[in-house]
Amino acid sequence: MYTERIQIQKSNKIEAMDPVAKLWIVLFYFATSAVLGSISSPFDGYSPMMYFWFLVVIALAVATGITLRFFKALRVVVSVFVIVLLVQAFIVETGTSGEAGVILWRWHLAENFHPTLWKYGLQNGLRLGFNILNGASIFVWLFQSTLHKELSHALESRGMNHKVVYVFLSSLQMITVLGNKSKTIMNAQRARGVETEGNIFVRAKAFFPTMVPLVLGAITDMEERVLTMESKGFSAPSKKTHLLKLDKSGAEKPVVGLFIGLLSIVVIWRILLWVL
Amino acid sequence: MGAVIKVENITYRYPLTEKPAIKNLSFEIEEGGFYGIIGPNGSGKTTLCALLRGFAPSFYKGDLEGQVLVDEKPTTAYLEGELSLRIGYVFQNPFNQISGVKDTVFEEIAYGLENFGVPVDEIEDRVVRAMKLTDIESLAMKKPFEISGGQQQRMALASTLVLEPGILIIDEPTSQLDPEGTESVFKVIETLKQTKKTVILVEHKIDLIAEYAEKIIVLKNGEAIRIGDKQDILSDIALEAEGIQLPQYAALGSRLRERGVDLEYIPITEKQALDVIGKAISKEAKTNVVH
Ligand SMILES: Nc1ncnc2c1ncn2[C@@H]1O[C@H](COP(=O)(O)OP(=O)(O)OP(=O)(O)O)[C@@H](O)[C@H]1O
Ligand SMILES: [Mg+2]
Repeated sequence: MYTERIQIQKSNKIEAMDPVAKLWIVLFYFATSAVLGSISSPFDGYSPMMYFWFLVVIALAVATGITLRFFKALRVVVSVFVIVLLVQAFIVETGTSGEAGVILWRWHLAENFHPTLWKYGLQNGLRLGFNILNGASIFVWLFQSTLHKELSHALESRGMNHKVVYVFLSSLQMITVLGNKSKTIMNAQRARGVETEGNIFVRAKAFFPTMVPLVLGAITDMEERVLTMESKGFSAPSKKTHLLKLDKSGAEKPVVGLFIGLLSIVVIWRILLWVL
Repeated sequence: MGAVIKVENITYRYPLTEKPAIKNLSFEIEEGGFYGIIGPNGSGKTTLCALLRGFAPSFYKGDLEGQVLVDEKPTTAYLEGELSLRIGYVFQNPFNQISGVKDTVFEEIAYGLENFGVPVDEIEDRVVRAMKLTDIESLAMKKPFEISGGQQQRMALASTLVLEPGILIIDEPTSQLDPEGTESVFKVIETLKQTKKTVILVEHKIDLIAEYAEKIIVLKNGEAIRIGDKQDILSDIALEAEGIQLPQYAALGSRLRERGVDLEYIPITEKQALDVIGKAISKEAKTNVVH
């Protein structure tokens, strides 16, 4: 009865896909982006298709039934996008040195201070920003729709070394646990009068008294950890069994097929552009 | 019952150290016995446990003279993982014994069974039995990192017991726990006494040793200064001079004797103290009536 309760329950067929199928989707997604990116528009030397390509991930997230989670997790990426875009647009004047930058808009605030929107910077910022957004969002989709243990189990059962899988899984769990532990240490240090809040310098000063117990503790704990894992048969030569059952959801073939289809269309388009 | 572990004149040095952590040690662990190992900090208790389990020298390396036999076979002759099924080991820090790859207490306890390739349909029963024994079944679906220290330590015990080792080594299981957690762990250790397992327990809280152990090994500077029945050893007031803490009832008993109270024996537990002091009082009362 517990064995049933720990199984992964997902009602959406795409969300419940075999993690390895999802990895194939990520791969085909990137292959398609690469081809799309090489189709340059006659206007600005960068494929405007890339701006729309991003919509594919959104459509995928919606179809997976994780829209809300997806956008929440995407917020970080979007802020990176905005920063990159602003910095590029207002700072990078031109691509080739010696050439004058094209001003799109200039705001005369003061004699020596006139923020300028540069054409090249704006284009470059959009290109970089969308590359980041396109690349990161597919991973956001992957990890928002897949549990870590699901992914690692799928990889392990496909023959990936169980030690590699362990490092992957335990690091992910440790990040959260160490995060909490450092908060505890922070609180303890604060109680002792170490400043932990305020500007970046104050925080940097607090960093070391926080990190030292954390790291030293981690080293001394290591032996116990290793020996415990040995005691639990981590490197026992026997073939392992798994309580977690992973079944295919049935959506693997159609969805992966769809992405292969997209890739094929783009490749054909690319070839046609060459030929014609 | 025969000896399950034989320690044959061992001397052990950690790598790069001159001074042996264990010196000229010989004794036998009888099947089904409950052994307490006591001694001051740094006296070699943990090292001895590591030697009994074969972690030293296989993991810690270092230099071992003499040998430790488990079921008549030297620990150094066992294959990796083989001894795990024979000897369970519970460490001090409950936090370090969590695998970090399982989402629930249930799965955490099942982890060893999965690794040893136990068929899935057997696993649940065995895990449930281990959870019952350690009184954590109600936590089965909780996250391993989000339960209390005492509960984590019982989960560590369960993770070991689920492999059904005949011998169990427990090294200061409660040093990181609050009194409540300590009590919950010792409740489990008490139930272990009723199973036929051989238990080797390191514990600083001497009153708990007096309560649960049968045989005692007293270590000091890597040497065994006493090995024997707990009644003899824990009532031996001379050990106090060696820096070994004795149960408070033993100290009380010998102070009473010094003051001329006629105690039949030196008590080491509360129960014994009540018994022997009670007898002394009624004897006193009788002699008073005669006068
Ligand atoms: N990994 C190691 N490398 C070198 N020396 C060690 C190592 N572990 C322990 N020692 C030394 O071996 C001696 C015995 O240590 P051990 O940990 O066995 O003592 P203990 O009785 O368990 O102490 P405690 O009560 O603090 O747990 C000590 O002098 C210690 O410094
Ligand atoms: Mg120790």
